[in-house]
Amino acid sequence: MTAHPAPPQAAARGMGAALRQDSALKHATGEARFLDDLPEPPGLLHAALALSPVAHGRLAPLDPAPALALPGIVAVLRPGDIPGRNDIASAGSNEPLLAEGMVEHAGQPLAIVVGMTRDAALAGAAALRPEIAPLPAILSLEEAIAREAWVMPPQEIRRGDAAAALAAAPHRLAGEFRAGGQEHFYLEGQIALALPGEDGEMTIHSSTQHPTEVQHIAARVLGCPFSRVTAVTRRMGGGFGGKESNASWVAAAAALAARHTGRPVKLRLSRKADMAATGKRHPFLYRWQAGFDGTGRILALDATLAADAGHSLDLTAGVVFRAITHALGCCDVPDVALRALACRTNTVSHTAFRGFGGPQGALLIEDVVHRVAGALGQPPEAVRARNFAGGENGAETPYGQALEGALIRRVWAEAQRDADWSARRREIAAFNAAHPTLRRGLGSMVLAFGISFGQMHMNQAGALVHVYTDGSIRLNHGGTEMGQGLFIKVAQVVASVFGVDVDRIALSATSTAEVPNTSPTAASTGSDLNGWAAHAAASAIRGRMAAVAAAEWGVPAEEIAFAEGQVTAGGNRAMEFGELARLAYMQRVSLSATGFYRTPDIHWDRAAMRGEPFFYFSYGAAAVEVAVDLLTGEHRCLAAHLVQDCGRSLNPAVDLGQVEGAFVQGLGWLTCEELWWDAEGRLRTLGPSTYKIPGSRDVPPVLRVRLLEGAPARSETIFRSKAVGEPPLLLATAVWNALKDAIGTDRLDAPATPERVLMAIRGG
Amino acid sequence: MSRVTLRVNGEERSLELDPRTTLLDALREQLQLTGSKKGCDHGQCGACTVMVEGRRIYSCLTLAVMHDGEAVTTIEGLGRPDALHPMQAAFVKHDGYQCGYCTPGQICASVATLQEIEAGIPSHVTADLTAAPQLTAEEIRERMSGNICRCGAYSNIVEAITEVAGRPA
Amino acid sequence: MTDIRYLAPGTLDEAVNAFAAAAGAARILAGGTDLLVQMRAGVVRPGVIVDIKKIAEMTTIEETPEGGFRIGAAVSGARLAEHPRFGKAWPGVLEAVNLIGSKQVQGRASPGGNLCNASPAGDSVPAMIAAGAVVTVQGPHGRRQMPVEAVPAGPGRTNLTPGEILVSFTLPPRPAGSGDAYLRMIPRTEMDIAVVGCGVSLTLEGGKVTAARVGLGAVAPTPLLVGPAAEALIGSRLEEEALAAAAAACSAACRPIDDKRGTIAYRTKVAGVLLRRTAAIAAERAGRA
Repeated sequence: MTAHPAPPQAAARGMGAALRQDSALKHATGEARFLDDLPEPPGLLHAALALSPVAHGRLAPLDPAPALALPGIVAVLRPGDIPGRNDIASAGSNEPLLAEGMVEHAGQPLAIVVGMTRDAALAGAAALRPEIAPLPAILSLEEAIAREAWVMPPQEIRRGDAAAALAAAPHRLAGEFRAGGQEHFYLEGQIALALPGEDGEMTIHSSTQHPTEVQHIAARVLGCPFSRVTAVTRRMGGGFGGKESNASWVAAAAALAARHTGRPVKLRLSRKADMAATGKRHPFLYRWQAGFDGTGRILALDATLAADAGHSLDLTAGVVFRAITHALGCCDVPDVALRALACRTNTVSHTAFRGFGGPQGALLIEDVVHRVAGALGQPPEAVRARNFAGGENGAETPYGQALEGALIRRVWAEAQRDADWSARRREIAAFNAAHPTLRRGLGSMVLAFGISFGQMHMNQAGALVHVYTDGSIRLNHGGTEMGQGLFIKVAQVVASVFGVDVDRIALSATSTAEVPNTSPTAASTGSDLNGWAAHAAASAIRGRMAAVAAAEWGVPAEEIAFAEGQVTAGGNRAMEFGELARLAYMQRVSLSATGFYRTPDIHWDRAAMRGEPFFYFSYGAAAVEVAVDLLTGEHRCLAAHLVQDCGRSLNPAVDLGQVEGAFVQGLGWLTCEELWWDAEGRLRTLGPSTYKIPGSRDVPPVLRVRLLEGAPARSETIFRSKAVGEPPLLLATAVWNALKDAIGTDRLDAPATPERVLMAIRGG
Repeated sequence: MSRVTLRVNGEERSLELDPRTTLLDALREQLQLTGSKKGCDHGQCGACTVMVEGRRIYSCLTLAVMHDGEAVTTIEGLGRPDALHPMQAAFVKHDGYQCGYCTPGQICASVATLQEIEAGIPSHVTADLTAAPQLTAEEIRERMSGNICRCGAYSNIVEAITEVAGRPA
Repeated sequence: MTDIRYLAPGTLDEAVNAFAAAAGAARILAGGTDLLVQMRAGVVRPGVIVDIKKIAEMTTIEETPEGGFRIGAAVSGARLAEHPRFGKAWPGVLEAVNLIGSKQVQGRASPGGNLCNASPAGDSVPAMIAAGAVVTVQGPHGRRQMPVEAVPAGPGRTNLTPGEILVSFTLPPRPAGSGDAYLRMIPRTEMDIAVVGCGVSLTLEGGKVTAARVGLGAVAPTPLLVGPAAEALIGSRLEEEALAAAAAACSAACRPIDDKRGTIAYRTKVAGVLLRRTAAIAAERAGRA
């Protein structure tokens, strides 16, 4: 066996180059340090959580004695031990860190047990015997709807007169279906390490997408100013939305234990506790009525999208906002009434998950299209195309923001061409005619996904750039790295501003002490926001350096160019970038700058439910083929052709990986990942042996992913790129559509497990 | 407490530990070899995969005391950033990772997969149990099914393994 | 935390003595892939762990003078897969063993552990039942033998008496024209626990079934030997009528539970489908043998 040097980086080094991630070599050799890999500080204690076994009930004050009687237990912390507020709500209020008086869901944290070792803490938590007098629990969406149990008022987007248009339409259909939730199953579970310092300081290493919220919630629980708490995140072993709000309370729990004991405390949830105590993707129930004409044009749609919010608000407002703003997908329907219900159930509070309600919203129009197509005997893709926004149809969404009809048609045309769609239809028809027990099916999907946070104020970012006198550069920004390649993308932006190699940029852990008041790395906005903020910071320094060079050479500053590690003017003046940095320092010019960015032009009127809340839309299309075993319901996705619009990609290698990974994750949500709660409201799929995420053989043997070419973003995004984190998850909807095509059923709830597929075959 | 001697990445390491200590905890907490990860601690995710006496196992699902005198190879023993194992180089080249948490386990399992195919050991998808297994993508995917990747980088992982498999030894 | 002792005896007698001496506090450790999960979940807290992987009789594969196989209870799935002749004689048993977890699990896990764990869904058990395997157990009162299907008593329980250890499986010699197969239905494509598992072993003479055994897993509290299904096949040429009768016998034998992995209706339906498919593969192998 020969030792290999690192493979060469992509030949092109600048903006748009397919550079590998900054941590690639460290990941491949095990050197990359995740939080649990950090050397343990002296005196470290470990925490574990006691969780409620009951979904709803009255909780008597918890007796700590059974835990304290065990060896190695340092403390049992209950609500009364919280010096600040027992409230971890990210948006609303009154979401307790530790249940007090009432238990609202099975898996709710009741106490924090601190021990000398992790095993001791876990044993202590297991020894506690909470006394809970059970109360009737709301465990289904139907029951929550019947009792009008909401976590926030229903939301509605209307245009025209849906009732009148339905009555007037030549044909009408009604439908009902449901989509399950989804566990994030980040391979690195929730974890935080809290280190108490002087003067009430607390440094928290957290695996979080939102360091600022970790800071805020820990400070709220500790009862101290934000300035006393520093949250630090180097990298996450996956986030997918699950570490947007949920990481905050885990960190706050660790901080509380550290404050109480005065010692460093690590809290790493076991996989089972993680799955029991943290929120999932919102399950949805859909009911709709549609009116359409004989050509397949959908004229009216009245729909209710009921989201299972769980017991508290958490981020549900944003999730239902995105669900109803994405419920027509890439289609136009003239008269619509779209209602979103945020149902309160005695379940863990559901939260952000890649797509944030967008994937759930998009299922609605896809179900309508499928049913209309079935009623008219047309292929679903023809009905969808008949209703594409733009062109002969309206381009505006019901809330008043225009979609780009040309891009919608283009991505679909390209996916169809890549898949050789018509030929495939013929082949499949022949196969199905010849085979008694196997059915193949074709499915498609065309997506339009709005980019920006639904909460307008969150669309801002900051960055901090230092240039040192040897010409090396340190970059910090508010975005967090979870494998999505954000750090390398933002580094590429800064490298291109300074005209230096990306290796010159030192990346650093995200920290609230370096860049404050940040937004979560979420909503696919990471590179858009932080890329621009870093660009602003780097450009400020570059401007000052250019002025120094201009004065030195006696030329106008506009003539100074930064490229290939050199600073030049005209054809005959040149110096090394580092040399100019030294010169600037000697002339007492600052080589450090912050950068700030706010997304322009977005607005939303909450009362009217209208506006242009998104900076732009991303588009994409998929064409997939599946095979179904008619006797068992087993199925495979055989081939998938995906086309995704990333504008002018900042890094095609990273973006292709994101598209593929999102598709696989969407495939899991819609086919194999099933959350199963028992009759008492306890989640019973609490580990990988019962909760099945896609494995290596679930990926289609033919998976062709292409980024749309020659389509720079029309909005003024960073280097005309487009976000990529979430949109392609919606492409997996094509698999759900293909399964319905294969078995010819009207209704197929998600996840379409073999059992559901078989029952649909037998019922239909 | 029990005493156990392991040959870890070619080096004799003597440990004193509670007999319940898993091999994974011994590696991570006593030997500071944190490349092997704890994903599920349940023998289901593969992030803790190491090789013991040349055979891949989940280190979270075995006790350190069961391996007295045995040779353990972890991701750290395969190669370093300046001297990569061919499989590590291939993972880097093909972007066979995203968040990186499953990557060390994936790489250990990949190295073992190629050794197993070379040794003619059949898998569940080997059509003809009486003939030598072929190096198809299907065969590789099945043999790698004990390592999950939530980021969904499976295709790139298979490409990396395929490249190493095709390379003359 | 309570104390625990780890023992790795070199002989079976030592193991039996240590196991019996510890009374109920001891646990047998073969591959450890189930025991460790249970220990970490706090389901079991043994005071003594008896590691049997160092005992030669329990870790060897022998061919018996009559032409069968004797497999030590602690032989790992990986070792079985590497054996030059076992997979040719018993491809169905091997494919069932190859389905116990992933390759990493197979490196440690043994058919003996799979049986003694007494999960209704253990993959190797229906295949062993179909194969007509007989197990040898040894305890304080000596050795005895029993058919493999007699070992499980219910979920997590066996019919071994206190102090008894499973020593080995004996598989009978294979007449010419024999073949076996195992298929299972799982929610995902791999690395999963069976919703239904079906093992079939057949012997054919001139296209006619002269011997058959059918084992079913995950459809009742214990894996089942389905006698009526075998009877429906014996004497037939696997015509539609015989297969339908055998499939119906399998569905009729199901006494499953509704749980997170599948409903009663689904398991019952799939059991019959799997019987047909498994029988077809076994017959095809028998034709080649």
